[in-house]
Amino acid sequence: MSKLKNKILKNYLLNKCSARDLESLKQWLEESEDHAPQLFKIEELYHLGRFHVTQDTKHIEKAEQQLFKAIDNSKSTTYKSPLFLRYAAAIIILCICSYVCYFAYRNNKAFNMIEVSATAKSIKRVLLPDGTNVWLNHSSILRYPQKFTKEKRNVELKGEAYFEVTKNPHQPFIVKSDAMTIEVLGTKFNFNTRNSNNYEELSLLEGVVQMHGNNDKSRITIIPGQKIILNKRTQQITIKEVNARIESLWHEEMISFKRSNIQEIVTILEHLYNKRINIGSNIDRKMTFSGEMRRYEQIDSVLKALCYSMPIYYKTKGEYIYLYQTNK
Amino acid sequence: MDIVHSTFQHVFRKFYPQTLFYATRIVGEDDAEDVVQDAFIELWKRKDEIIDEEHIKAFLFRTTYTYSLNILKHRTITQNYAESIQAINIKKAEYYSPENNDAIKLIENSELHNEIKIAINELPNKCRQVFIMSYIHGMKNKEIAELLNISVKTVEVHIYKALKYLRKRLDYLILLLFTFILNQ
Repeated sequence: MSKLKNKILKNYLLNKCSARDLESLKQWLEESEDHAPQLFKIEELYHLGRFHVTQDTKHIEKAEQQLFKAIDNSKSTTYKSPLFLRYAAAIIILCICSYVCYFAYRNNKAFNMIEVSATAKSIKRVLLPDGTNVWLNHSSILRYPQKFTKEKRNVELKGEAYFEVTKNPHQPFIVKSDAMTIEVLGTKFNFNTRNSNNYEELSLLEGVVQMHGNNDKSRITIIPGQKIILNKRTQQITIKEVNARIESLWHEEMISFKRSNIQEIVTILEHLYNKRINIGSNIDRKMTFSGEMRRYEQIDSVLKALCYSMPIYYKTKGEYIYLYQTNK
Repeated sequence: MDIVHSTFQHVFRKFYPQTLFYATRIVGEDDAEDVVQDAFIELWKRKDEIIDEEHIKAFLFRTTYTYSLNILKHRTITQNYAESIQAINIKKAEYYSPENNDAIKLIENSELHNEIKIAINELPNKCRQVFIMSYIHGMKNKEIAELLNISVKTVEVHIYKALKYLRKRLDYLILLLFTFILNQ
């Protein structure tokens, strides 16, 4: 397979190709099916290095204004009905509203709440009206109002969810479960209220959260890396130091490492795949790795990928996996 | 601003940079903004059907792609391109198709953006300086030459060297990424 000349590639990236360059580029592309993705990946990477240009806030604001103007214009051209019809409609709507309100009042809280649930096999990501992101774990249910009130953002959870709450100091975000109520201003945390075990667990990744048991008004505040365990039967609360990322790993579509050493990588993999991994004594524990990996079904695929970029290899013996340093 | 608008604003701020980058890669800077604006207007019209984030993202990329192809088609008719450019453009459009996930995955990979910055930082001093001026700040070779008091020829050599080095580095990155993320 021939390699594309650096000079032509340079001219192509800088948009300075001569007619002859273009001709040979075209020929090279036609030589093999693999050549096109090769070239365009390089080109894309080249431009990605300047990605921040499209992230310029002033630029985005301008585009945003333009967009909302266009949207509002398209609205104002909607058809207008005769006046009496509009009054009639208003009266009917009023009647319906009061009727609905009455029933909502009778049913106390269900009014205007949206319910989202994740199936037994899938993880669902939900975007709330305030920009907060919620990942719902298997068979979990989240309820939230169509519109948050001015003072508070109230939601309810059954099951397990990971929250990335949009910051707003004036409007606390409140999650209620069977046994506890959590109040935050803008944080990342994992909240597990599964009924199968008698505990509810809350672990914090960023920011600050405050919680209290639903039968107990004394408030407890935790900091990142801490976890609260509430025993539903005894109402007893325990605080533990944990690796909070491990608790919320389930929601990550990709496994990402930032200058992680072999021990950190192994801990995460063990947790994700429920396996035991032994680190060979000859492995350099100081070497680090950064990158993102897809969450493959099989741990083998992940290990293979790892061995590609670190000087290690692995062997499986029964339940155990062993990592070794490759000989240089 | 009501709740619908503010949710939409949030979606816009989140996806606009990616979508704009994507459109720019296919149709170029001049038309990209219009394409992306139209895609968001289309999303607005269907905001009641499309709710979850994965769906929004997929919709935006797909719509942007369709609109971009229309522009490319229009251009082939109105402008008299050389046959070689047309052939290259067709292959490029194929590469960016939303069915071929690779292109979009690269855009979303923030780790990668850092890796590129790191690679640029590895360039030898003078070379890096010239390259950043040209690449990041978009300065003309002549401007750079005047500013650094070197010849235009030297500027060109530096840029060539930088690209050659980065190619090698990026080749490795691609290998790493694509054995890592995309393939089994």
